[in-house]
Amino acid sequence: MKKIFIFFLILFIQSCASPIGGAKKIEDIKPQETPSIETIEAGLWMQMNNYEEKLKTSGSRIKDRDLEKYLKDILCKLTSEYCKDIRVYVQDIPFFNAFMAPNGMMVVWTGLLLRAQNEAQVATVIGHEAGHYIKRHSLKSWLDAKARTDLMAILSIGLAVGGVPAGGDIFNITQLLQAGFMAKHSRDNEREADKIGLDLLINAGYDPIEAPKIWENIIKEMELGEVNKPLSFLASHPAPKERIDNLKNQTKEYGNIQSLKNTKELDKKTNKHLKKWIKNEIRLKNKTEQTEFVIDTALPEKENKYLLYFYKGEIYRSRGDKINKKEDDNNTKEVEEETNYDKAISFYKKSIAENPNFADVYRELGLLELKKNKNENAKYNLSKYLELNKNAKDAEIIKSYLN
Amino acid sequence: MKFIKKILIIPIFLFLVSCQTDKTYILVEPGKVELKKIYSADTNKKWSQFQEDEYNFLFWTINGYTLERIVFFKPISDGRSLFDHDSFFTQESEKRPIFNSKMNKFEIKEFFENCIIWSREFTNFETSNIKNYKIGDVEGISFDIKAQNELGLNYRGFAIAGIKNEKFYSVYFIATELEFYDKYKKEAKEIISSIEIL
Repeated sequence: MKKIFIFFLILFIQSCASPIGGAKKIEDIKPQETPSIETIEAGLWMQMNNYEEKLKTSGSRIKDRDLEKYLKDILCKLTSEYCKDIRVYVQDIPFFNAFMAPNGMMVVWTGLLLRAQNEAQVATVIGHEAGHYIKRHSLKSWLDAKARTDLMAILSIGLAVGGVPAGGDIFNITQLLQAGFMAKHSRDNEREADKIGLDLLINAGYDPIEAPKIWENIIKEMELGEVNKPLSFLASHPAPKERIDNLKNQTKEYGNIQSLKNTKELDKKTNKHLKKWIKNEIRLKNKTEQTEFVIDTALPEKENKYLLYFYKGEIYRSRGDKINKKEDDNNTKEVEEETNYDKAISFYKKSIAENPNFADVYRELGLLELKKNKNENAKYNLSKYLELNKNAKDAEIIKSYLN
Repeated sequence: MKFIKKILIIPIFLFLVSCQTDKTYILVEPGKVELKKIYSADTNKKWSQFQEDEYNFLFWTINGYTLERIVFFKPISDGRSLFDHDSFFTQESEKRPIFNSKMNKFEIKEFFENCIIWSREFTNFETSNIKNYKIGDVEGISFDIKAQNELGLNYRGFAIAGIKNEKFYSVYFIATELEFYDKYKKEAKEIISSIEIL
């Protein structure tokens, strides 16, 4: 009886395989194409249109239409054909991410913009997301997910009927398998989107060397952070290392490569947000080395060095006065103990050395010196803050510390 | 008859028990009010007071929490946060802002701001206009609040905060910029300026 059951179960599972593969037959979306009302895709579009309406007035959408227009212009530079079909929104969320909805709504998070070093790197991501749209990846993923959900639900019941104990473990196993299959499919989509993105990037004259760079930085950041291992098999994107290799190999296939980076253009659009984005990054309380790396990436230019040191000081000040162990030159033994506040003070002093007219750093340095009972130094620095910032709104409080 | 009596006693008992436990909201009458022996405040209006032991705060509202409220945080000690519940994003739970009684006035404001941002109730939350402020005999601060939630609704408000006996105390008023902030700011200011730490 059991053998007969298993035989039919195998036949059933094999018959279920076609809807999954079937999703690959879906053709690319054409410019200005909209799905027919009776299709599943139209339903997905309708749901995403609703989401997009909410996003338009959402508090998390950044209030800088100029920045969104700038990103949209990059998109149109990459693909004039689909320029009318895709809208770009920026959400104020301090993580590295961007996503594309099937209806043409592209969302970029501020954490990504903070980490991008030039326009070519942003174009890499925008081109990649446009690739998802052109290839209708959301629809494919949805159909595959639906097919697998059905299959796995039935498989779970089938195993139970077949005499295998149907406890929570089996449910977990089927879910795990399902998630694994879906992630694999998604990674294939990501590879395809990477390829399209790089085509668009090169055709628009951007420097393709910048494409792997953004991933190289993510790897470095991951290594410095708490998640210092490669992405697991359940992750929905190819591992960054694989991604870098693919992008580098693909670049070799092109003949006429240009070198447009547009570093200043990106800086011009993002500079006014930098203070807030860096503050949000520091607030995440990631490992100090990781946050330092992100700020290094965000402020690489020489003229910003005083800000770079100031924010590094802020990282350590905001962690409270914990003791850090320092290693000697050979990394063999811990030789000195340094507190977060010592580190912060040292960075603030470097900031002053770079730009002695930057008021904020004197305030932070003075307040920290007060905590360290270096009252004379504190008085000097707080007074210097008031001298440089004649209209300081917090003058009343600073004066109370001076007295 | 005995059987009917028994049947009647059960629902009456259940009803009484349910009445006793339902103290999530109580009515605050005008006059001087003591809040859980933590704060005292004067009010000219009636407010609904939310109080649940498991939450680290009480609040007063007239039209509803999302429209306007005065939030009274219970005092917290070193190493604690204003919100002790786990974050929806569990990996962030360990990274909640932590209070330190050695914080200076700017760090007190920063701590308050970081806690509210950590709670993710607002997508934008900014504080400004920090001033010295005495909460009874405690040297504290006051500052203004501007916020926006996920729906895009704008809020305005103000807060006071200070440290007494190495514990952090804070009260804030927030209301929708449209209609409710202007409607209740005078009353809220009067209440907050009457607050004393008990």
